[in-house]
Amino acid sequence: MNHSRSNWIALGLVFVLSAAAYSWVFDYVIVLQNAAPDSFFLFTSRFLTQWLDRPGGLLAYAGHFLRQFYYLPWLGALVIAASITAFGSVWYLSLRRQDRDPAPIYTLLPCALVLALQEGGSNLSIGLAGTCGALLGYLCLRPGTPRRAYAVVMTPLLYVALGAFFWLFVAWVTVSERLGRRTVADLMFRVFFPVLGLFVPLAAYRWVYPVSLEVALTYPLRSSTSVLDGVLLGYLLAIPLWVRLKRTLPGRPFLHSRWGRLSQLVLVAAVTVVAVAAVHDAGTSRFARYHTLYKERRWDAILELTRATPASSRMTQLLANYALYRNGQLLDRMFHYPQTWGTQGLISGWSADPENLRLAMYHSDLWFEMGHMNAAFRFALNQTNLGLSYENVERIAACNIVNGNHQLADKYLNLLELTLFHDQDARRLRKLLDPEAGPAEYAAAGLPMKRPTLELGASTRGFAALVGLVQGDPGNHMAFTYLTAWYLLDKTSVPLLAANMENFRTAGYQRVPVHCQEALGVWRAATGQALDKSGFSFDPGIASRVVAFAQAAQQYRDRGRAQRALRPSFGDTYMYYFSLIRPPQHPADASDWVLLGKEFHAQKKAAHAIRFFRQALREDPGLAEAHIELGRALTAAGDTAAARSHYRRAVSLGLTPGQRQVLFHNGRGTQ
Amino acid sequence: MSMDRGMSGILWVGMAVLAVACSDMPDSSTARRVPRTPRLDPDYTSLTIPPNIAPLNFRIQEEARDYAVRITPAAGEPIWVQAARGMCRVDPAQWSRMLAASRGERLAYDVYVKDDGGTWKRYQRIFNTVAQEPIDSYIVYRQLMPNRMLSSIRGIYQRHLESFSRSAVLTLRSGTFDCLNCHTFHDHNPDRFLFHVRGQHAGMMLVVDGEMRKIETRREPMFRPLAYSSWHPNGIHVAATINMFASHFRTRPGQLYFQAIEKRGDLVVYRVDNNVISSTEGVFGPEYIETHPCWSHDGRHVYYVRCKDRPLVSYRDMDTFKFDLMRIAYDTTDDQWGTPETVVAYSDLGKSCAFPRPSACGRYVLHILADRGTYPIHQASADLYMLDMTTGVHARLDSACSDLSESYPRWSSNGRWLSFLSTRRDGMSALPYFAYFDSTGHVHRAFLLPQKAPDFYDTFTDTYNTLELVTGRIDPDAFRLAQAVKQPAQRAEFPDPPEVDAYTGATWKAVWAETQKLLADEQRETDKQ
Repeated sequence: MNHSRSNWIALGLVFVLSAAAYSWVFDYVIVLQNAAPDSFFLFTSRFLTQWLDRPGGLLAYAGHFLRQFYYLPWLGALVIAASITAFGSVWYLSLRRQDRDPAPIYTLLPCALVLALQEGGSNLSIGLAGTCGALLGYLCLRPGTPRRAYAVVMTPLLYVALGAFFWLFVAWVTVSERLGRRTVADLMFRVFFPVLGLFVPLAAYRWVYPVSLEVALTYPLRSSTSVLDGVLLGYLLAIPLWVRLKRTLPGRPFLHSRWGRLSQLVLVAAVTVVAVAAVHDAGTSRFARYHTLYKERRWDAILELTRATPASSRMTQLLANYALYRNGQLLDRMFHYPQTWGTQGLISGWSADPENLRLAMYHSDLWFEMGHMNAAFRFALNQTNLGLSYENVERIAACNIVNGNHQLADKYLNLLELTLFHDQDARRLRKLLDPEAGPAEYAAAGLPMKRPTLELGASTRGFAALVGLVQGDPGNHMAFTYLTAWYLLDKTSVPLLAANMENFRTAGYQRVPVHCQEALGVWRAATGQALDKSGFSFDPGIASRVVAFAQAAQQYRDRGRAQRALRPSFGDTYMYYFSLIRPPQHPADASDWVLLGKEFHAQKKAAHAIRFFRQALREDPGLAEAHIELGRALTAAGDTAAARSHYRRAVSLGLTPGQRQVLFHNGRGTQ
Repeated sequence: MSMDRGMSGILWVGMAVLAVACSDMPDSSTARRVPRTPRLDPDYTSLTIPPNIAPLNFRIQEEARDYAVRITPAAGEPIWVQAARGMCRVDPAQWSRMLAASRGERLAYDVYVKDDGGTWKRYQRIFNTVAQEPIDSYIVYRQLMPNRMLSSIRGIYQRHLESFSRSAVLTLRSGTFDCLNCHTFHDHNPDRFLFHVRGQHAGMMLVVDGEMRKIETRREPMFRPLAYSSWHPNGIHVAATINMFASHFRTRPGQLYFQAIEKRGDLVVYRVDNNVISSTEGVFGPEYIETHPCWSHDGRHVYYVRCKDRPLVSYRDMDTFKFDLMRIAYDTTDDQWGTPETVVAYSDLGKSCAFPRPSACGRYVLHILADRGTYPIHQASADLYMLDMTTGVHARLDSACSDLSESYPRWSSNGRWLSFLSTRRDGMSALPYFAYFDSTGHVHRAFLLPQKAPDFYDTFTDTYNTLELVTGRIDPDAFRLAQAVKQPAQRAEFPDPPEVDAYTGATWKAVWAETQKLLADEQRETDKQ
């Protein structure tokens, strides 16, 4: 029986199954790659040429071209399915040039592996399709000189276009020729061609590309290190060579029998399931789900997801907290959700670690919404170290529109206009470059018109930036809410809540939120101090719950047992978090207060600065830097005697060379 | 066969359409006149340009259906350019011939646009003058992504100014080098230069007539290896500074970018022939930050800038770092240092000087003045200034300056052209500009480095940096340079360093002593009370 029709039907199934797999099983690949620089594509020659500085640059370019369609997830799934099917098709045609009637299993097995491996986001299917296409061309030519000439020409071209994928072609041709005739001319080619295969990447490394030798030999395959990759490449190498040796594919009689056909189906299905299960990343998938809900602004759905599968990562906690804020519930319900990352799961300051860089846009969004354009801009700009993405380009443009640097905004909008799916966004923002654009236009574009009233260095850490924003605009509801949430999460700053109750009203709160009441109840119980309620009424039920928790907690000495026992009754309270949860870091320490004090001292607001430096010394009386800075601020405020005593204290604590110099210069002022 | 015939038919029709389209040039006698000059981007109007520059391609920023440009030399045939979508791209061969025949003459630009009604309009004529003196044929520069805290240098590149060709001198091969900086040429000579590599293969690379040597220049009591450098005219002595900078990504509305300041700096002279470093306490002492060295053309002095060291706690303290223009004599015959002289105390004027470049004639010193520090590229206040040494008068070069930053000025080898970087286009990317310096000491209007695509800069998000004018192409290819960088470094000698604290560098020991003294005095006063 002829298997041609079966093969084409099978390839049709590959297309359908791949599209289905990337719509439902590996949909997270499309979602996350669309948000990353991986899918950024511009229709310009300069964008093309930037990829030509490495072997396989055209493959990378083609990958970006295809991934731009990930903008629409269903289209992305179709693109991936088409790539896998294209690979399967040229592979099948190559096989058919060698064995007239290959059984479908030989076509389907590598497709199943590629389907799973495409999940890694590589350009695997395009690279393999291109290499198999080259092999097909080689096989279609009659044996002898034309075929060899073709191989010689195609080898460097494949290397330039597809990088290390060309090794497959070199191996196929080399072995194929070795198994051929044995004339002198054949012998010369057999020697010459492998040498050419080695020479091409070495020559490229030596004269063409500014890359290391390792990259010249392995790019872009070197990122593929899984067992499945090895199995796939081994299979692709072995099968054509087997045919060349044995003149037919293995297991032919059996595969043409009825049981053989059935077993093909079973085997392919089993390989597909195993491969998919092996590479499917449930954690990443869940994170992509969060990302999708976040982009769709479905706050309730985010919270539902968090409830169903409690967050374990910093970013999912961050998104859940943001969803709570958007629902107006952050300070009332945040402890209904896991806060195991403490303040790190609320908002981050800038850090150069690669993980932060990948997730920078979430932070950029938060700072942007709070009005700290500088931090929003910086997060977006620094993320471009990984490459331009649609999100960071748009954010850079937006920040510069708000900050009034329209020329720079214009440049980034030009980039956005050269994209396939984001040109509308560019045109929407470009309207704001019109000097006549007013509040209505800004509101329509979703941008704040008001510039930040307080200048903050963007190196400022999250906590200090929040304080700075609230200090600059006490009515900044979001900044105030986040700052208050920070106070709750860092556990030590609740006294600041107690001392500034009137701020709730300024920030637009009509009542003191539940968790704040709980925290203040704990504070009162711990310190015995009276609270200035600033006219707010407190819920007696919350107060009695604080007392009940304290009584219940006294029964347990072991934290683990206490957690298990108290979680059902008190797991959603501040008291439970305060007493029983240990976040991995405790970021709002004395050095944060020092940093904040420096910011205000730099702005010649000595009174504020002195307050913050004193707070730092309350946290850590042995912090020499705080003594020096307090001395400087006191000197600026005219209290040189007090300044001198702090300088002396700093010296007694031991100084770094930098601190010595500061002291030297400022000490003069106290004479 | 029929398909072939069909294809050829389509081709013929296409060519005919093209021919008709190309023939649709305006008639200058009937075109309606517009009483103003057209808006062009880049603004290549009223310029003096080198006779060997690549075509100044530009975009016509006027709304129209069709565009054409006629460039008419003083003598000879004009060039007509059909500027589709307003993009005026001049044929390089025609342009080159026209410039060669127009030295010292003016080129007249007539810009025509066709409105929706099909009427051609002609804007007021624009004139550019072709100078007699050519500009150096190459620029060598670093290209990097601007204003990021993480290292993001793409590499060192060379660009042929007479065409649009560009090639890499050295790029950051993946994971090999952390940073490449401060490439410096001897007398604009592409065969004799140095640059510094940081990171895994750190060292100073010396390239002299094809021979490449790597030098380890960090020797105690230097706290860092050499950085900013300048070759003596003899090609043997290299004045260099050791620098350490502090940075801050400070931003405020309207002025958003990275800030940096030179926090420490000392001046030394390195001899290429015997691999020896020397210095003197006057420029290696604890009190001052010295940087941006440059030899005078007669080789008798090193010009540099200097600022009293002071605390840098807050980014606001950056404003207190103001550098004066200095020079120090150096006798290369016996390697004797003189004493530092203040050329202009710019700090007294509330300004900070950077990148002094004495002219070949010795009369002028080209430099930058900004509000603070020695990183003018991040400051809108940074402008080009020329100091006339005969009169002591310094003046802003208004025709070359903008509201935003100018930085890194350089003379051409014949002293007739200036190159510098400016962020005037968008406030972030520094781009190369050139200006003619005529024999009367007048600087002409500056123009942006021309590109093949007139809209090149619309989407160019990188920045140019450390731009040097060079008389030819650098020969060693990127591979050889990269291999040479990996060779072991030869250690430079610093046989007689000034007496400073070897561990804390040139500053802290003295500061610490003074601090102790101050505190002791204070304690005595307290005890008395």
